[in-house]
Amino acid sequence: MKHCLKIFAFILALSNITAQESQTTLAILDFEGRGINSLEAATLTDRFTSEIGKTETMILVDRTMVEEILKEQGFQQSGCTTDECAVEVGAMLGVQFMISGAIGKLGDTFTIDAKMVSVESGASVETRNVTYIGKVDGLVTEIELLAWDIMNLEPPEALKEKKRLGAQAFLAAQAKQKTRTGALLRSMAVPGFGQYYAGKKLMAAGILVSELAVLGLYASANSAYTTATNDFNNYQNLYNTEKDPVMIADYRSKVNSSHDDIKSNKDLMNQMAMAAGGIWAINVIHAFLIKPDNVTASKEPLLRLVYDPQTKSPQLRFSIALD
Amino acid sequence: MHWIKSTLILSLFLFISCDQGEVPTKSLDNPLDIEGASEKGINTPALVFFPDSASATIGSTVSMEVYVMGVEKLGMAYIKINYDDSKLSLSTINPGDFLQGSQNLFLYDNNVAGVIDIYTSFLGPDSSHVSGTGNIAYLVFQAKTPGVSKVTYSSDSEFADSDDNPIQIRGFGEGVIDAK
Repeated sequence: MKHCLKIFAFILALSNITAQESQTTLAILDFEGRGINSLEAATLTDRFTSEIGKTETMILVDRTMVEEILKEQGFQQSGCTTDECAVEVGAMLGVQFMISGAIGKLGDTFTIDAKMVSVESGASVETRNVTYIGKVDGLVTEIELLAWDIMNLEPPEALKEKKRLGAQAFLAAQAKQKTRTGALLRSMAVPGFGQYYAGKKLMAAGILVSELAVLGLYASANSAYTTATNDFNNYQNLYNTEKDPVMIADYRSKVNSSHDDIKSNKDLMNQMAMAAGGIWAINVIHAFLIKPDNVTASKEPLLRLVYDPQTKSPQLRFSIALD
Repeated sequence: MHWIKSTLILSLFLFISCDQGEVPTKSLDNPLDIEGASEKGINTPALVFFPDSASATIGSTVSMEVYVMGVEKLGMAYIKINYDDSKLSLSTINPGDFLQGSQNLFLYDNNVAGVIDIYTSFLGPDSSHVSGTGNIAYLVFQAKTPGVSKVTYSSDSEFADSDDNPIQIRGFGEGVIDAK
């Protein structure tokens, strides 16, 4: 047992070293507010930082660590606005890249300027400018898109949808988010409807057609069963009252034949009922297991790797999205 | 979501009330069914009653026909029938249409309690005979006291062809009258 623990600890240490060596580290300074207040600028920087984290391309230094370094150097976050300051702070944090920026306002037009500098060379490696006309809350989406853009990545569909719909409509759509329970209940009521609701239209059609086909066969067997039962009752009465031996023999064979028909159709009905029940059960389970297509659904992972400059090692961070 | 709940309740109700149907029991026990009689151990030629079971209220009457089944060249017959005279009484007896010809004989005797003797044959120089299945006599009983009573053929009964050659009777059916 102890041997196993030693091997496990060794593998963990090795993976720690590998993670430190392979992943690029990055810190973000609060964006400078020009025409917007510092609280709004800080909020937008937070969202930008959060979105950079979602790109999972670099290990982010915790914001509190940046603040501590700035405090030690006698800066407020918003006071460190030059590239030189960013490089200096970055060196102290031990990161490879720093991002700084500014958010300005001219009338109803907002501008966002962001810059990524290499701490090692002091050179700007990426610069981005965004111009936005509208309410200040619309900047949230713009800054989220900027985070993906500055990392040279394609933003997720949900983010594009958010920009297309506008933040308010996007949040309203989120409120109407499709759930597994919704799919389950719909599939319980009408087979395939849960799949349709979840966006799996082909599967929905397949399930519905299968269920209808089986129910059709059941109805057909039931109709044949009813006919055979009527025939049986009729021939049984004729057989019971007939006195002519030839006719008796004829009715006897008809009674046997209709009785066999009843049994075979009853068996078929049972099989079709079981098949219909089976398809229904599979449909319900499937509807519950499939993930409904939510364009607006948050895709942020629960566990995220972050960089702690104090210990100079990566950490696993657990977070739950409340949006 | 309200419609989903309604549909679910309706589906559940339909599912519970869904009748898969029953397979009815067949009863192939017509006493004149030669195949059925053979399955019961009654081989032809045989004497049977039609119907072979009947029910009656006290004081009411019930009819039974005396049948010859699967016979070849029957010219004359003596049929002895036993019944429980404490529960039944013979009201009427009439000739059937099996041994009907230009000249024929039909006699019966009910003087002994619980016993009916029937004598029937073709008459005349032309040796007439019949084959197959047909009724010899119509019996009407009256129910006297409640209970189930059997009407049976005696093994003393005899068949013969038109030349008076005996025909072996290989099966005897019985009738049941339930008086209530």
